[in-house]
Formats: sequence, C-alpha cells, structure tokens
Amino acid sequence: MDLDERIPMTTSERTAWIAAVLTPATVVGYLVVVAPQLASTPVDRLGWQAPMLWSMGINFVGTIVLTILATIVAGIGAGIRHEELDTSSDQRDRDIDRHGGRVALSISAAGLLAVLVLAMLELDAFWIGNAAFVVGAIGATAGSIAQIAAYRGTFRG
Amino acid sequence: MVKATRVTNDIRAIRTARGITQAQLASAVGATRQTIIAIEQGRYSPSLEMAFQIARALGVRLDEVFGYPED
Repeated sequence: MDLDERIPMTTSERTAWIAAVLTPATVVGYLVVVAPQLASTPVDRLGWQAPMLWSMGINFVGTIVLTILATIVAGIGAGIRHEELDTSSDQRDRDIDRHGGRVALSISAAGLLAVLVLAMLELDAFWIGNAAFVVGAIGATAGSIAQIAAYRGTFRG
Repeated sequence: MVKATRVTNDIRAIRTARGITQAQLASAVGATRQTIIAIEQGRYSPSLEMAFQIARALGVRLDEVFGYPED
C-alpha cells in the first residue's frame, strides 16, 4: 500500500483545523482582555461576561466564515490543478466527527468536576464561569485535534 | 510513517485493472474520493456495508478485495 499518497482535505477536516486554531486563539484573546483587570479590580466587579460572549461569538462565526473562505481557496487551487473540489461528507467524516465529539465530551466532563468543586466552595461567579469556559475550550480543542489525528493518521473507528 | 489498519485490501490493483478511477468508485459507493484513498492506504476501515458496496462496484467477491491476515 502507498501510505505516502496525500489525502486531500475534506470540508470537515478543514473545519477541524480551523477550530483547533481558532478556539484556543479566542480564549487567549479573552484572557488578554480580562486577565490584566484582575490586578486592579475585585473579581465581583470585573466585567468578564461581555468579553466572554464576544470570544464565543467570534469563535462560532469565525469558524463558519473561515471554513467558507478555506473552501473557496481550496476550490481555486483545485481549479488551477484542473480538478473538481468535492465538498461533500460521508461515513468517514461522520465517524471521525463522532470520535472528536467523544474526546471533547470526556475531557469537558472531567473538567466540569473541577467547576462543580468551585461552585461547592461558593467561589465568585467569575471563577466558576471562567473555569467552565476554559474547560469547554480545552475539550473542544482536544476534540478537533483528535479529529485531525484521525484524518492524518489511521482511523479504525 | 502511518500504521495501516489490520484489514488489508487490493482495491487499487483491482480498480486500476478495471480502469476505474477513485472518483468513479467513490461515486458508486456514495463516498468521497478522500475516503477511497484512505481505504486504499489502509488508513480507514470501511463499514461492512461499504465493503460490500466496494466489492460489488469492482465486480468481485468481498474476500477477493478485503483480507484480514492472521498475526
């Protein structure tokens, strides 16, 4: 078997790559905005909700927009090579998507235990909200990385 | 180097012998060309249903195209 032949990206793989980069990037962007305020503002008066919603919104919309742009670029590249770009998905994409979802869920579920502990200790909503946000982002990023690994490596389902 | 699945196949040899392209086989079994490449390279184990579809599209028996060698 020729294991070195490059497999062209499917649209689902493109989305996984974008999510794997954009999710941590938007979290870092949020932390860059909010973290410096911790030095001068008490957490119960810190305005973290709006930046967090912006971060989630940019991640959600950005993933869609960048996937569309990446597909357009891939289509142009395929046109130059006189090939047709296949944007459909199939069973392999669905299998790998489920695999990524399982990884994301298992990591997020484990992380949510930490969030529960913070809630039990009755810490400020800032810490609970931020812990949930970061845990969700770590889970989503890990899920995307697991998808990329499945696309680029061997996937047995 | 990527490690192949334990399920082996001769899709590429049979396909090229019959003059069938990856895109044509993909269309015949309702998969993407990427999936056909992944299966040919042993990097994705197809479902039993897809395996039967591939064998049918190539005009061979299932065990003529797929194998599962002993250790």
